[in-house]
This record gives sequence, structure tokens and C-alpha cells, in this order.
Amino acid sequence: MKIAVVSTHAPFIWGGAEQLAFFAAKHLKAAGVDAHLIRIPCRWEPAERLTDEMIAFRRLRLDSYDRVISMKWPAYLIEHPRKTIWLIHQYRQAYDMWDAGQSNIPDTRRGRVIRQAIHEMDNRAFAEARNMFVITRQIQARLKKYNGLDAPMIEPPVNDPEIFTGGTQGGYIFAGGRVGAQKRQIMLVEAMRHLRAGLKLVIAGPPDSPVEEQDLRARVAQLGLEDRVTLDLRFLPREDYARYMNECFACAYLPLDEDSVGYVTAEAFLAAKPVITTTDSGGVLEIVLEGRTGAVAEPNPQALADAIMRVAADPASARTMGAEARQLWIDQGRSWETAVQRLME
Amino acid sequence: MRVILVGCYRQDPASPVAASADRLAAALKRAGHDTDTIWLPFEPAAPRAAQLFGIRLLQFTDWCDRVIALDAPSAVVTHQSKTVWRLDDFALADADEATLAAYASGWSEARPALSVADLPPPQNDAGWDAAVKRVAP
Repeated sequence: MKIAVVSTHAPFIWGGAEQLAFFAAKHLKAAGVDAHLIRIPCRWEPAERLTDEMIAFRRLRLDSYDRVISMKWPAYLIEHPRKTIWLIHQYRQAYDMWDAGQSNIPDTRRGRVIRQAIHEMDNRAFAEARNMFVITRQIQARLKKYNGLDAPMIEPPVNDPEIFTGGTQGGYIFAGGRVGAQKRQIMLVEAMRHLRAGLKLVIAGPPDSPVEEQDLRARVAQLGLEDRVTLDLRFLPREDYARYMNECFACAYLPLDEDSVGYVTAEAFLAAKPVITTTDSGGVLEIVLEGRTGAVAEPNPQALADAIMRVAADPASARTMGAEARQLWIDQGRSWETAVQRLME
Repeated sequence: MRVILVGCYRQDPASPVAASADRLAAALKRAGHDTDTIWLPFEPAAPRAAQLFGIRLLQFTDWCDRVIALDAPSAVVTHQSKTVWRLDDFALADADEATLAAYASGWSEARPALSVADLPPPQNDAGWDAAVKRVAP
């Protein structure tokens, strides 16, 4: 059987959504399926482009595939008689972010037409799908609220769990993964001003753009934190990334209103590290529980520093939190074998 | 600079595009460029003009400094600095008038526009390094 795993992506960026699509194709192949990953670039700005994007994806064909697994808007608009949707993203700015006044679609007559077109095309694509799954409870609830659909969850497994073995409690907080405004590493740097001198911060991962990197480096320099903040801003080999994770004291992950728990959190849990996050980080709050598996702060540098201190002040308590985090993750029983089996239903 | 290599997904082992894309990406990296390679779907047996219209609408302009299109269908992508290096003409055979017109538009915009006769895939790294100077001037 020949399967296309189709997702949209931003070129030169490797984040959680890109990983999920890549590993879905990889594990389908491991299960004996002739799976191909197809990544199609998509531009969301300005809002007037959104209709062009929908038309473009609707014109693309995948007829030579026996089945298509699509993941993100607007990739799931591609027509196919045997389409499974594993939903990572709708275009949230036409849904909950519109309601919250945080949309790039203007609330004008034209903007409302664009939003309506997105809703109608989504509903059509969902109706065409043979199967539909979501990756998180947030997406499940949003789909029910706005599209009136029930979809079961297939939660993304960690892709290489064997390398997150845990290790010593090093003297640093680790913030891994993509570096950019949405992940708020700058807030973490600013929190370091309020922390005792012995504690260090390691930020490691690929910047979303040269501007993001410059801004982060400039902020570290402005605050005179070069001796306490390590910036390893590149696409790290997984072994290097895992070493940082396994040997940190705790992990910090502060995305802005993200749907999923995030790979960084999952990997930290597997490595038995407590996670520090913020009250507006989204899906991660499902498993980062204050005082049990980490600490949750209001999204400002002082509160974040206080949260870090709640974890860092007592190494024994941090170890206990890490152990509970690891157990919580293991109890969820996520695996690629199960995910592939369900995607092939 | 940031360079995107783009081709259309094709499982034909005889197609020179996939192997050439890997070697070109490596040569571009040696020359100090960031690269990403994108394979777009294209089904020659389905109506082609509509698919080309879709590919044409995909926006590459803001993602990179240059696009290098490696086969006939991908040559229609939109970018202000586009190279077409047509290593495979697999979707040209039996093309209807609308399809040929779409290809012609894509090629006419490219600087440079090369066929495999103008620049055959090189045989070694030195040849690929030299090719970079032509396809990513």
C-alpha cells in the first residue's frame, strides 16, 4: 500500500509539527507501508492570501496513492477518496483566535467572507475524510465547538524515547527546541536576572529566523548574562539535545497558547525532569502540575524566576517531581505502534 | 542566502531529479548557502493544467532568496529570483495547450532558465560546485 503523509510547513523550520509528520511516515514505513512524506509550503500572511492557499491545495492531486494521511490546514483540503485526517492544526485565527480578537483576518466584510470560506472548506474536507483523529483535547474540544464534530485522539508519541534516559541533576535549566517569539526564550533570559548566581540557563535549538537569534543574543548581552546563559542556537544532533536534557536540573518550556503538550515537555518527562511553564502555555498544562511534575508561573520574568526557585531550591523534591513526571508519561502508554495501527484503521 | 530546491514527487528511479537535488543541496551548503528541498505532488495522469494552477498559487516568495526548480511542473512556482534547471521533462509529453502555456510562463520568468542540454548533471563534487555558480548566481 502506498500512502502519502501530507503536511504544510514553513521552509527551513523544524518544529514539533514537522517532526510528527516525519516520524509518522517513518513509522508507517517500519510497519511495511510504502509511505512518502510530502511537505508543502504555506503562507498565512496577509489574510488575503488565505483563499489562494485553499484553492492551491484543492487543486493538488495525490491520485497515485492508495491512502492519504493529512495533518494541517490547508493540507487536509487535498481531495482523496481514502483520506485520513490526523489533525494538528486548523487555522485557529478563523476560529478561537478570531473570537479572542487575536486574528490576522480583519473583522471587515471581506474578512468575514474569508473566515466563512475557511469554515466551509474545512467542513467539506472533514466530511470527505474516511477517518479523523486529533492530537490533543484542546483540538478535540475546538472541533466539537466550531465544526460540530467528534474525533478521537491519537496523542503523538515521543519519537526516540530510548535516548531520554535521565541523568545527573546538573546546575542548569534547559530550554530546548525551536527558538522564537512563540516559545518566549527571551522571557526566560529576563527571569535569570532574578535568580541566584549559581544557577545557569542553556537555550539550545534552531532559531526560527536570523532576527530571532539576534534579538536573543542582544538581550543576553544587555543584561550582562553571558557567563550564566549558554546559547547553542543550531539544529542539534539528537544525541547532543538528549545530553542537554538528561543532565539538566529542570526543563523550561513556555510556548504561547500551544495546543499540544509539546515534544520538549514529553522528552523532559521521559528524562525524569520537572518542567517549568506558564499559565498561558496551553496544552502543556494538562501534565505540568504545580508541585507535582513541575511549576507553573504567571507569564512574567519575576513570576517565572520564582517558579524556577520553587523547583531549584530543593534537589530532592525536584527529583521526586521528575520521577512523578516520568511515571505520568509512561502511564499514558503512547507508542508509535499503536498510533500507526489506528491511523491504518 | 536561503535557497529552496523544488521538484515534483516522483518515484521513478530513472529520474535524475532526486539524486541531483541531493548533490546540488550539498554543493550549495559547501558554498555557504542554507537549503531546503521541497517535493510537490503532481500527477501526470490527472488534469495537469489545474494542478499547475495550484502549484503556481503556492507562495515561495517570502521563504527564501532564490528558488531552483528542477523539473517541468515545478518550474511554474512563483518567485522573484527563480532558476529553472529542467532535469526532467516527465510531464511534457502529451501536454495540452493550457499546460504548455503554463510551462512557458514559468520558464520565461526564470533567470537563468537551463535545460539538461545547457547544463548536464555533473559527475563529481567539483562539477557540482561549478554548477552552483550558474544556478545560484
